[in-house]
Amino acid sequence: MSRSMPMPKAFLQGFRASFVHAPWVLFKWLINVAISALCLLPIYQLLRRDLEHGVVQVREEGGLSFAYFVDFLFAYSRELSILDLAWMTLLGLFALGNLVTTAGFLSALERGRQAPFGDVLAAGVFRAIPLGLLAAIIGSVLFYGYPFIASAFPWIDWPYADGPWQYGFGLGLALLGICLASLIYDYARIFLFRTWTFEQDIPGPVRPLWWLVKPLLALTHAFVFIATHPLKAPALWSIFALLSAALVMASQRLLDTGIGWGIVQVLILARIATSTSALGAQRALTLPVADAAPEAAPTKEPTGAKPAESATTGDPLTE
Amino acid sequence: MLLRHREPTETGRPGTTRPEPGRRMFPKSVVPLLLLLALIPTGCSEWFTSTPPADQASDTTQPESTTPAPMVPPVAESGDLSESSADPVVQYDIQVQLDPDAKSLHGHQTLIYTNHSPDIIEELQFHLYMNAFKDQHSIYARETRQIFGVGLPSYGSIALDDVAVNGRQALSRITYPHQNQEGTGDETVATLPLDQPLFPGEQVSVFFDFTVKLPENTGRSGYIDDFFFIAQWFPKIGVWEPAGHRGRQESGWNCHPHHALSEFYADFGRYRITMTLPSEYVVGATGIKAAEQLSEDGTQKTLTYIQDRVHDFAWTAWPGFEVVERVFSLDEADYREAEERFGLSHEQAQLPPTRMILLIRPEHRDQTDRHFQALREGIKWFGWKLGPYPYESMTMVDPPREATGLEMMEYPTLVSLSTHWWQPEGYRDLEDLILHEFAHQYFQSMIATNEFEDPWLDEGFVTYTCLRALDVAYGRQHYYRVIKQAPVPLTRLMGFAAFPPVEQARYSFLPGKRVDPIHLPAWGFNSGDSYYGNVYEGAALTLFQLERELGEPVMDEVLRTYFERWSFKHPGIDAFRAIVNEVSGRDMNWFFDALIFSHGFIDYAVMPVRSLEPSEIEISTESDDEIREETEPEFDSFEAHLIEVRNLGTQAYPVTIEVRFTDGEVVRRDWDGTGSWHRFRLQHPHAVESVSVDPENKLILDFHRANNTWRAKPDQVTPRAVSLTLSTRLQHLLQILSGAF
Repeated sequence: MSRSMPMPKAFLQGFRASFVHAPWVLFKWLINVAISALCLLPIYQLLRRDLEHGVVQVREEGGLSFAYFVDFLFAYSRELSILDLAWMTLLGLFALGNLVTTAGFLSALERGRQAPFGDVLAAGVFRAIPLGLLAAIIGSVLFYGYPFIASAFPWIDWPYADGPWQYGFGLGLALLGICLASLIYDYARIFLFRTWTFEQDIPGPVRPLWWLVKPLLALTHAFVFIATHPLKAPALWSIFALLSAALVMASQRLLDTGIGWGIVQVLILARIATSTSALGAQRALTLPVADAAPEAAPTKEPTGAKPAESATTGDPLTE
Repeated sequence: MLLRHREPTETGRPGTTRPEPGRRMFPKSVVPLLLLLALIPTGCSEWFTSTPPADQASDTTQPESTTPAPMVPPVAESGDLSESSADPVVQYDIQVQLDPDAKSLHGHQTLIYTNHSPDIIEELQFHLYMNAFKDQHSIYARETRQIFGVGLPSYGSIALDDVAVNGRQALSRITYPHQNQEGTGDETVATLPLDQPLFPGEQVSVFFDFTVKLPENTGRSGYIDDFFFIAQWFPKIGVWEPAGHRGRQESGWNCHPHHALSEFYADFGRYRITMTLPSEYVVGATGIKAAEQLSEDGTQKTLTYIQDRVHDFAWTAWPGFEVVERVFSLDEADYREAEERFGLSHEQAQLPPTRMILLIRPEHRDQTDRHFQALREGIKWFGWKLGPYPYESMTMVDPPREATGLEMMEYPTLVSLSTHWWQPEGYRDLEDLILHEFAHQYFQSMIATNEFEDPWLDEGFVTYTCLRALDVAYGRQHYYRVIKQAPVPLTRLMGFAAFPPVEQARYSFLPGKRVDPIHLPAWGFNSGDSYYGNVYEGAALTLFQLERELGEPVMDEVLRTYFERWSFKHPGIDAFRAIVNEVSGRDMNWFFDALIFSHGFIDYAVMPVRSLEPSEIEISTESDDEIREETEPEFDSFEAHLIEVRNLGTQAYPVTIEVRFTDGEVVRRDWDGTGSWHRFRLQHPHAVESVSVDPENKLILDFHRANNTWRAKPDQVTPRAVSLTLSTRLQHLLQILSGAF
């Protein structure tokens, strides 16, 4: 296996990627804000109706008052039930929007900043399908498989546990899942597609068989990378996750102090940028340095898509 | 039993699980996006049809307990029933053999029954609980179908091979009063006419030779694989109730068939049980192990357990248990706590030692301390608030995870739990369960109310005291929603503060349909939802309401007096009501009438205040019925304010109405809460700042407390701030759910 990029450089590349492809980060944030706001508006109206002239203890030490919300939920249960359907739709839009923008960001990484937005968006939409599928598979394995793993190892506890070790372990497990998902994805999309150009020559009728084999190869490749670089990928994701958690906590604390929604949204934007940076950094980390030179870039997209234009940028992240 | 708002966190066998009542309050549709709104109940399924309950049609022995009975003196005071340990009503001596392969028991039982009543008894009645699982015609099976929509998942029975009274054969005289004319139907009660009447003070000896076929993983008693939890397994005599006892008109047996939702009512007595089973089995049982003997070939062992002053005997056997035993005793920290938090001196805080026995699955070994700690907290709280736990031992059983039909039950000195490996520190489900089942040692095992007829006196008191003990021992907590076996601290993630346990009870009870009063027999409720809501959290909240009405010290005194006067006896609601009146020095009958014997819900709301111009005052002078005018003569020339409070609920409760004016003056008026509205006029030179009903927030049963206040100056800031907090939390959560961290 080729030598991989040093960690500090990979981090910098990751952050740089978020700036270089800022439109995608902003796009993702806008979708988040818009859908959250749509969800919130009816709630705000009900809260206003309830609280405008009422005097109840809505806040108490440690957060919102559950006692009040018990009343609120039951007093407006009919209205809230009616909103169920709308919220389900919004939930779908939120998930889809995030998926497409994440996939768009990844496509932008490949194609470079010069690539037409429409092309990148189209590539992102197509990319979102396998990405979503992969996320669903990995998520299901973790979600449904974790109890059985923990059943065999009772000392494992749930990430939401209060003890710091339990919390850390749970978080670590979740991060490992993210690492694996993104690594597999990267290997599948970048290396396998590009390295084994013979894929292009596989006859159409036989190609579905290759699609069955390819994910297994990607999985193997990802495990090999983790085995040969046991700390790199988890460390990278941990650092970004900690940064993200700090931003979440900061935004919640600031909101509790009465600071404006706009400032909180800036922090949320920063958090979204953190997660896209993580994707960029992983791309830089896992991209072998030897392969990172412009001359090693593929000459054509395996799916027959438009050839990457990033060769002119000289940026490994845009390869 | 503990039937709570919890979802099973480990997988049970499909088809053998008793439907989880904890799901009853949760919505059929849940708001999926806004996780907070996953808490909304949107409806309760109708489990019952309008068909009269089976027991009402067939059981002729039960007293009518749906209406308040006249107050009667405690039976002990009237000498009706003696429950003293020196001369118990019943003495059981049973030798039983467990056949693990055949999943059966074979027993020989000698029962000595003493007639402590002033009546002449001409027949005996016995519970044969295991026949509830005999076929789909039993009352238990029929009710299970009505409530849970499924019949019996497995079968079991008890067969009487031989019966003798004072040494004379009597098997042929056994009849089943709840059987229909075709000879089919319920056989969970047997009647045995006596050759010679049993006069007051006389004893009768009844011998049974019986065989029990255990059902699989259902009905709180049975087996799964090689695990056995054996309860309600032997022929158990009913309770002879003299006239006047618990409001009874005529003397007679109180011996109900086994119902789907209730099973306990029996006399206190002395139990000596000798069980023989394969030697690899680990056994836990009611009482104390008095002897253990291994067979010559070492394959079988015989254990003898004894216990005095209990009304039931249950036991469990499984080769997989690990046994851990500790002794409860108080240390200096406990005495300090007793003094600081309970106001008890060193002398008053003394509690006797108790052997705490835990039969635990090996994979839960790391949770051993949590079990003992919770039990310890229970022994302390109940010991200090009510009275010392009198038995020598207390055994907790952690059944195998597949045993979902055999868990979370209470028996004298023995309880079954439902421990899960996935038990975060802040998730107090385990502690709640242990405290709940331990509370049953007081309310049910010692204060032996009739669970068939007065289920709320059992589960309601247990839920109330358990929540109080939980609050003292563990403080505020978060709501955990079990999602796919994982307890998720949903309220914490959504930015809510921890809350006292009573709020969990409000959350569970308030959304339910209020079609039944709390005081009904177990089979008399309109639906399973109604039963659970009223008997558990509804009754608990009503007791919390009583506590707020009387004050905590008076309520504590009520509980203590109730325990001192009625432990090892069989009180009814009148006994408790009499103590409330006596200890509080008030006539609180209205409280029971309003909240225990009537159904509905409470919701008072303040309407926007109308300030009347002088010209309007004339017009608004309506009839006295509509406007109860309060005229302040000195303010005759000032503005008049029309105050209106509405009762949007269906129940009435006396409330105080507080009016605040902008100059700081406060005016209070009392309203008995009856009628659908109350309106009055105040004349005052200043504008009204706010109007509140129940300003001290005493009315814990009020469905919607936000409308209890109206203020003149609208507050735009709070709704916005709360919305933004929720919005941000929501964004963070959705961000995680959508795959980004």
